[in-house]
Amino acid sequence: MFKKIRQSFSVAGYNFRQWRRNPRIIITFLLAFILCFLLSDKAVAFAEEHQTTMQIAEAFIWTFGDSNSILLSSLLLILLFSDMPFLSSGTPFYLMRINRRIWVMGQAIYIFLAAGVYLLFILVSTSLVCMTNSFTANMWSKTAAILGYSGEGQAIALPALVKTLEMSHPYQCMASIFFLMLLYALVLIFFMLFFNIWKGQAAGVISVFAFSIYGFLLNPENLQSLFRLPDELAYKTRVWVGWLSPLNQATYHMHNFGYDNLPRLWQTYAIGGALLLLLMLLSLWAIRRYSFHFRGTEGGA
Amino acid sequence: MLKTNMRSILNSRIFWAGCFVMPVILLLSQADGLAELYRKGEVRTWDFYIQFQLKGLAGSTMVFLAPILCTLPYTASFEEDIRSGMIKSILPRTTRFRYLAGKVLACGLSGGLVLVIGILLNLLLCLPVLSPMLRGMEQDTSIWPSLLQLFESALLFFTLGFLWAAFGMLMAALTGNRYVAYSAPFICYYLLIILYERYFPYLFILYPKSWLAPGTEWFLGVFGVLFWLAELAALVLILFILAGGRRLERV
Amino acid sequence: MKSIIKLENLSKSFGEDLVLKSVNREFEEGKIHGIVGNNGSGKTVMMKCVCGFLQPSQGRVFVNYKQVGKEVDFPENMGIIIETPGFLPNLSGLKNLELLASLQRRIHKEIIRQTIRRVGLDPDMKKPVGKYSLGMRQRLGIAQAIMEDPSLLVLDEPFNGLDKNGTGQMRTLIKDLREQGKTILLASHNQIDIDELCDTVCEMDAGVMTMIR
Repeated sequence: MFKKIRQSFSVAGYNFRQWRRNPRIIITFLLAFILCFLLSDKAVAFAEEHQTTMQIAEAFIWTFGDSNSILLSSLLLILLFSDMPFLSSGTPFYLMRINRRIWVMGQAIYIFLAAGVYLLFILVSTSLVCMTNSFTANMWSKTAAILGYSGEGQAIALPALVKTLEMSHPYQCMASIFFLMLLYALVLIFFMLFFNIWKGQAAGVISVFAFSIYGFLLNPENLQSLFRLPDELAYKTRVWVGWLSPLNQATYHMHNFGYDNLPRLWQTYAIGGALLLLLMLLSLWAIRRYSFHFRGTEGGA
Repeated sequence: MLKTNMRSILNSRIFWAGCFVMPVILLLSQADGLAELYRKGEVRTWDFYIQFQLKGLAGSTMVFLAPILCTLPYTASFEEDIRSGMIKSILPRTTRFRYLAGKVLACGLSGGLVLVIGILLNLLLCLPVLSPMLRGMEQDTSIWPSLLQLFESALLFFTLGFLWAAFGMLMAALTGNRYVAYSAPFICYYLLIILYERYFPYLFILYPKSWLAPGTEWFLGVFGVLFWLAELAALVLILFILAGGRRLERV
Repeated sequence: MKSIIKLENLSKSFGEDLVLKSVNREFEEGKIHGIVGNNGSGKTVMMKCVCGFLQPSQGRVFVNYKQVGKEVDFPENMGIIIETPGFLPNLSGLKNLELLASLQRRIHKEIIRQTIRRVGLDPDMKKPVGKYSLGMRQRLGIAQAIMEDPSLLVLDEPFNGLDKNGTGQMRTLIKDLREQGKTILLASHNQIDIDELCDTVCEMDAGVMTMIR
């Protein structure tokens, strides 16, 4: 058992070794840094305009507490994992010494760790781009108070809601948002892995876009304006969409903090975990009939 | 070598596609303003028409689009010559210096031209859209200051396009990857914006938005910016010839 | 002599393209079996089916009496060279082989060094594999295939890129491996390799395998 775990980690390690001086990986992280800057600009500009400071995690919280930002950052993951299912000319030598399941487990470990590194980078980058005007204490800033209590947050489309401010402190909130994003990213990539193994690379990419579009379209405001729903129905729609849409499940403020029937955080974690387990089992099933085609020996992306 | 490269650029579909994409996107980005104009139904002057163009060029869409468009036509061509093995057929017919210099100059020119031709096409394509609302000039006013402003703007875009396209080719030569050719200018562009806006607010000479809309901080105004960009472009050209030369030694 | 590899009505198609057509063949233990054929005849596809990389569209493959793809994913105790060998370009040859050996931990570092010397490379060479010539990479590929002392070797064009001396050395190596009782499946375009080394020869032509000797 221990040998199989070690072999799986070795397979994951082999994938990480391909990161070294890999232009595609470098470009992905640089684009992620730029994305963090662009998305956090509103929050930072607001603080500068009002000459107030921010807590260091707040830029991350206001930026990635919004579903569109989560969607954009997860789409960059497609670039990071574009060489899925990670077959290179050295892969046959690994395969001969393990078996298909161990190889898939290795890919799963690699996906977990790579997605974690990527999101950690997003978290650090968002903090870095606002660090000249921020403090580290675990309390909400004046910027947060103005955004949340005055309603100016809604006016500039920042998800600074009273319930966010009242239910937790900045670092706890940051941790929750981080785990929600990680869960969403992992489900997305495991979707891609399963369809890649089952039906090919094109199917893997299409599945990711389909998954993203599905989450994007199930937006309560869009549905309300599209179908011109009255307020009572709009509330019910919001709750349904909150449960059905993976993107809304990943959005912090679309959770139940004691006021409504939206999913609670622990329920989202459980659903995400169950989905990951299911996709992993499906991938283990699909790999049995998978035909390995290895690409050439030339290095590079 | 330069003539051959320019001929292949001007015959390429990607170059002309880039030239046409620019006015389409500019028009779409100003759709709100156009709708407002039509709703009000007011008659405007030719001066307004030029200012309308300048406003589009100064908008956030162009800021985003310019470093991408200028890399499309020819930035990856050096790397493609090497990858395909074509370089082995080209080099015996010329010298290394002529090949490298011709390549990077053509690349820079393609980057600049795609933006300038896009501006000209935008001027022409907007005419049928806006001309129903245009008449002559206001009394005692001249169109020449606005035209001069437009000319300066076109010159700035050309130089910037030249610089970014050449920079993309340099980065591709250094990394040996053609996708870096397309992405490096965009990434560098935004990294410089981030550095200025978040950390070093005094470094205006490295702030790309300031290059397109120079303020009073620039000595000699627009010509000061042009001179600075030309210096940067010359540096990039020299670095490419050195980097490209080393790359050719491994062919 | 027992058959170590058995192909039973093996067929493989890619879309509408039938690459292998009902191949039936048994390969005996302890011999060198040559596979010849033009480019695109199906040699590599057949070898990949034996290795377990490709699933047959029809038929079965048995290696050591175990069905590949059902009872085992990939045949046990087998060394392979399929297409051009690939290694991590930033690491040295020794480091690359140590990484592979760490998966099964069956051999000591000294065995790896001896194997690298056996194929004519220097185990202490710090040069990264990315800077190896094609011939050096091919030698390292052969070292990778034999270092764990497998009983079965599947070698697709193993002499690709080797000079005259190198080819001679590798031929001697393969004969030694046969003397040790190993079974070798060898595909080559070179008639001298086939004539000099192989105990049996089969020809692949448009997906059909025919026994020549």
